[in-house]
Amino acid sequence: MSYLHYTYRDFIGDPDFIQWVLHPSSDKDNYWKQIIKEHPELESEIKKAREIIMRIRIEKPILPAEKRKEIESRIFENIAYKQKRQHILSIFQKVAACAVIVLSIAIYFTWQPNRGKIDYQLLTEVPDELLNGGNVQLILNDSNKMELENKSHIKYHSDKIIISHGEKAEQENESSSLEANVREKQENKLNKLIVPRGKSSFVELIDGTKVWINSGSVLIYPSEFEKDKREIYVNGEIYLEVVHDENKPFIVKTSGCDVKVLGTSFNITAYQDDNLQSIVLAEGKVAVTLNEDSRSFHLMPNEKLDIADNQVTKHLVEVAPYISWKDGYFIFKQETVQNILKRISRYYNVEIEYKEDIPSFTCSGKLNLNLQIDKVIETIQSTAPINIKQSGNTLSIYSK
Amino acid sequence: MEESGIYEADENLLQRFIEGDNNALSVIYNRYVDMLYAYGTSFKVSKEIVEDNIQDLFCYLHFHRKQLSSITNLKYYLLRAIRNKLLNYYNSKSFFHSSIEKEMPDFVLKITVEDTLIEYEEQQLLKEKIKQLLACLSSNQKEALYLHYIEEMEYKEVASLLNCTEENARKLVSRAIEKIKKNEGIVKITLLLFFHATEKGITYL
Repeated sequence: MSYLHYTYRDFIGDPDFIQWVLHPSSDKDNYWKQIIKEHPELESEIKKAREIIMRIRIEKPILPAEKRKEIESRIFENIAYKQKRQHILSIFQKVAACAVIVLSIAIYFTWQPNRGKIDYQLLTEVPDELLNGGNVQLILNDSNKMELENKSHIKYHSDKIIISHGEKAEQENESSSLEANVREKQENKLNKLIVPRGKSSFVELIDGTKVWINSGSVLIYPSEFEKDKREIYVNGEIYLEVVHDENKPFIVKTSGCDVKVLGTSFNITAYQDDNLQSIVLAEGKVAVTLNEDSRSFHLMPNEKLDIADNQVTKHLVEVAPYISWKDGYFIFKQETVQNILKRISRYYNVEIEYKEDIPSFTCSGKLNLNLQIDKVIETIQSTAPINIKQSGNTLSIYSK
Repeated sequence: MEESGIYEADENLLQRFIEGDNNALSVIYNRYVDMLYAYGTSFKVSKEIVEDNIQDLFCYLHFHRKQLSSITNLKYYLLRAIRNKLLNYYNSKSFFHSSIEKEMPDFVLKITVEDTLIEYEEQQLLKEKIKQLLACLSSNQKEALYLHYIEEMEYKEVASLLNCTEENARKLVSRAIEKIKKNEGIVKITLLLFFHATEKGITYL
């Protein structure tokens, strides 16, 4: 074999050469050493060819050291967080009433120093009994409270508020005192809507923005927006269809973050008693800013942002399961039984008591919220490996 | 990677972890995170998604440690776990068209040419040629090559990861090699990409 005039490129394509590099042996070593002896001018080309061969690799990306550490600490934080939650969940029912009182006192003292701005968080603190039962309440100011039926529609007009109750004919609320309240000055302009567990409601704000309010939520909004912005505050879960207005950004404030939009549809789950807050975007674009450290995140349609203990994660999701409640049903997609029960407990205003450890199990499907709770229990029992016993206002959960 | 410098066998490590030693999880993480990351990012998904799923995977291990005693090959188990997680993630987006069988995103073999004696342009040319050749392989072929040669999985493990028979896994690999061999000249060194991993003790000139 003559390797005269071979360049390194020829060597790279030469089967014998490749064989040698691949499966070196003393025979082959000697053979190639001989070649170099005869043609010293080839030595550099051969070296080059070998080197090239040795340095071509399948790329195996390696996590940068900081990232590796970051993920590791995220794992252990997440584990600790979940352990805490499991623990809290099991004792939650017994101490619920007590905890809320302690919480509101704590918040009152810590929030005292930075008054000045409207303290929405304090305003959304409502006594637990208001959220636990009774009717939907619309509070226009200190002296003007109204009790509304479940699933009522509230619509703000420039001079009046129209409230209609589901199938009943639209009932216009035009009493003169009410009209006067709509045009009150700054402090009294804020309206508060309390939607207890087991109830839901709908508001069309003065700018035409539609807000669906889910069970166990408090919504605060002005009857007239300010000149340069539209601000509302929620403790709970809402779905919004925001009317586009470039000059007046729409801001939803929650205990954990601010969500700023120009015109869009999205769902916010931000219960103050729940460490996990999430925002799901159906259309448009929103910017989410954390209250704690002012970090900002942009969401695109079909993205979900989870905020838990200042840890933020973004997921691609199917939007429908997150917003279907506004149309009267839940869609679950590989949701854990615990999460499903939690949502049911909010919607039907029942307490969940875990009598036994239940196996981890996920369900997918659709749950009609117009059904009575016993039908819903039946459906869940038939799909998940759990038994549910209902006594009064409590669902006891056993493993099957 | 381990601080002590003593390499503890996977079986021991796993046993310690199952018995409740959290430090063992950290050792497992540090031993295999690069492998999981490299494998995960070989699919056409963003690296953030891979990172998130790695995080979820280790949390899952923590809460299901009692169920892990049946694992005989930790490395294989982890590869399989991250693959399933990505599969579920990728398919969750098309939830409402669920009649379609679940599919993984495409598997891509990326190559690097470290700094060599040859000119940059020529390096790029070489890279381009190899890329073209690899592009001729199916996604499954590439993944099978990767698992068998780079991660040194047995054919039966490759088969169960790819959800096919062992015979099919062998065919995937051998046909891919044939395809590469058919090429002339310089591109043949593509083969080396796979054999490097298994041929140890290659001596430099």
